[in-house]
Formats: sequence, C-alpha cells, structure tokens
Amino acid sequence: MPLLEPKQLVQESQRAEHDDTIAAQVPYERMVNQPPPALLVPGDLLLGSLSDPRLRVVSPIRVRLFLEHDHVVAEAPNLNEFGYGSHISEAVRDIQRAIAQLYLSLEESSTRLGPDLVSTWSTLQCMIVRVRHA
Amino acid sequence: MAVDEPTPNNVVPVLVAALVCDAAVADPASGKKNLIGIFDRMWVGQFPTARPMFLYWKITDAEGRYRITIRIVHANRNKEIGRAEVEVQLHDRLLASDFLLELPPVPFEEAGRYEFQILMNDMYLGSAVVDAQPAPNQPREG
Repeated sequence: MPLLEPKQLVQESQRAEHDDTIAAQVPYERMVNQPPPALLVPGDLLLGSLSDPRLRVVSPIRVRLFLEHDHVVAEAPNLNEFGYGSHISEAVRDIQRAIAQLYLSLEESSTRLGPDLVSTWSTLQCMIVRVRHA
Repeated sequence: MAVDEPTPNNVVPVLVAALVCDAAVADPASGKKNLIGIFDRMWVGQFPTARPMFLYWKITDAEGRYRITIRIVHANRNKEIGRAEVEVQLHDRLLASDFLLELPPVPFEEAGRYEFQILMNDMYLGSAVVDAQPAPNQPREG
C-alpha cells in the first residue's frame, strides 16, 4: 500500500480582513512512518461539522461506522441517530443531515417535548449551537 | 526537568474551504495563495493511474495547538490510501488560516470517489472530493 509523502506544506497565514499579515510559526510536514490502517469501516469518527451553515459543532460528536448488508452505517450512539450509504462518504453525509434535522426539529418544538426528547435536546445543545448572523 | 507538551486544543475549528488543484504557488512576500486548475472530477484513460496535485484548505475559529491530519480515502472501498500529518500553533481564533499541501502522485487504482478528509485533533471537519471516471473518448476535466 503506497504511503503518500507530502512534498511540501506551505506555511499557513493568518490574515485579518484588512490584510494585516501575521506570521505564524509552522513546523514543516511530518511524515507518518507507519502504514495507515487499510479499512475505515468498522471504525470511529469524531464529527466536527454538520456541513450546515446554520449549525456549528462545539463539541465533537462520536460516530461509529460499521457494515450492514453491504451498506455503511454511521451511528451516533449519544443521539440514537443513524446515517446510511453505499460507502463511508455517503453514510457520514447522511448522519450529518440527520443530526442537523434532529436539532432543527427539536429546537422548533422545544417547549413541548417528552422526557426522552428533553434529554436528547439537552445533549444536542451541549454539542451544537445555532449560528446567528447579525 | 522535562517540559510538558502543550495540550491540544478542543476548540472545534470551522472549515471554510477545501479544494484540489493542479498547481499552486504562495507569494513569499504576502503569503497569498494562487490556485491553478481547480477540479473535482477527472477522466482517466487507463486505471490504475497516479497524478500529483495540491490540496488547499482554509479554516477559521481555531486557536491553540492542533494536529492536522489529511486522510486520503478511496470512498467506494472505505479504504485509506494515504495520510499526512502536521502540527500547528494558531494564535487568534478571530483570524482565518489557510494551508497548501503539495502531494506526490496520488494513486487512483480504479474509478470511484476519492476524498481528501481534513481532521484537526482527530475531529473530522470536512473534505475535498475527486471523482475519478473512465474517459469516454478524450480526456477532459471539470
């Protein structure tokens, strides 16, 4: 299995909107010498984004990946949510959508939730915040 | 006395952009990046093949010490085909940071979806995607 060697990582810059360039100390690329794991499923993933501009992940969401009937299943055990796909990318995108939808629907009906959903809503609020644009 | 390593930060950054392109240069004076030939599909005359490329990504709302992992994944096979890691220290979460990584020829063993996943402190932020497809008649990209 080929191990990719990054040839060069160009130093990142941090720039303010008024183009005030700030120098950042960045070590150059470091190779990972051991071969990478071959298969990503089954495995775990920490979701740091829901790919939804309305929502921001503030605490990573643990997702378990496993195979079921030739499909990849992504499960967020803390939220009892699932995503499915023919491969890992589809399954991750599906669970991102599912969690975003769960957040938005619970937010909408947050004043009339049963005990189980109150608990789920509370868990979600620790992990995700609504992005408020001025 | 041993000096403790700085603790990795748990602030979850926001991925603003992730792109794959043919070539890229950073202006040494300003640090501005110039990307040439951005693509998300490639038509391949014959598999397996390999081609060099650049990965560009931009993040914001990050501060502190991070381990950035770039994981190249053949999605259809749920298989990791390569990875790179780098550690960075970011100083101001109100500012954006962008990165450019020159990759050696990336192996495309067969048609399918290939992802360049971006993880910071093991948190998956998103990815750039390249769909490799058999060339219909003549090579083209888009």
